[in-house]
Amino acid sequence: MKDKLYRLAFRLLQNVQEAEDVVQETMIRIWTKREEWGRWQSLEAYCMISARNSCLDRLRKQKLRSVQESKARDVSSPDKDPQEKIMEKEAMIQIRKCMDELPQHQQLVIHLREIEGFTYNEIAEVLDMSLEQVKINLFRARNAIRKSIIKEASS
Amino acid sequence: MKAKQERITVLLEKYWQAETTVEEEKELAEYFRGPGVPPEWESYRELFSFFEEKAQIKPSPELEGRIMESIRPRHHMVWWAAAAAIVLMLGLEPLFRHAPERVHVEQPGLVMTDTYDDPEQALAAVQKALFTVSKKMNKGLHPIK
Repeated sequence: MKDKLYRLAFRLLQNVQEAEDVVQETMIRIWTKREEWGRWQSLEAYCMISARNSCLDRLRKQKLRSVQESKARDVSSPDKDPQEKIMEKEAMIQIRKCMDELPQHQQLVIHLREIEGFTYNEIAEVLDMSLEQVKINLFRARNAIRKSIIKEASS
Repeated sequence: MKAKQERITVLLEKYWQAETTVEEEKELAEYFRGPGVPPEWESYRELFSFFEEKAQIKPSPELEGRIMESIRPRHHMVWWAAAAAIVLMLGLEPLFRHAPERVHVEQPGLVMTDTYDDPEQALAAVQKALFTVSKKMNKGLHPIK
């Protein structure tokens, strides 16, 4: 569970420490609500929604900070996950760059589908979207990445 | 081999249209993980490999310890409460133990009086008190079950 939360938080925040903080906050919040667990349909979905909301709150706060500060958080940030740095090859860098440039809702849909293997229903629940919106966003995200990698391969 | 590639071509078409099922996507990932992927699909192989590698990313091993540390104080509270109850009971114990001696202290006017005349009634009252205490202690320990 914590790994999925971390990957989701990292996708949104692009910062190891902040992503871990979100996981910690989420787990503590869930623990304090343990009396309610029986009433929740899906503990995992609840945790993912909670983590996503925490990330979005943090991103909103970040936007309020200076432009310079937010510029420091670009792709070459030293806060990038060390595991990511090691594994990335040229093609991988291109795919990641393309994913990072997608609109946020497309990034989240493709992340939950391709990396976590969620069903459309699960994605719709976590992201509070209709099934149709999930499909459209996934379609657009996949095709944007496809275009990018084909362009890269032919250049 | 050709049949497999035809199957993958069909699945890829569905994949780009966002019409594949989770199982079909697993089939695609498995195919691109294996050997014999034609050079024209090299970019796709890299794409599936990218997703697979991203799925391996984990937070630092210390995170779990930090989470447990954040949650633990509640346990301490429960154990502290339980320990305090035990200490309190042990602290009161000598009073009960010494109580009979007090009966023998020769002081005029000091008379030991019973709370209950009926032993059955006294036993019922003690049982009720113990039941109440144990219920409260169980309630306190509930979160660590």
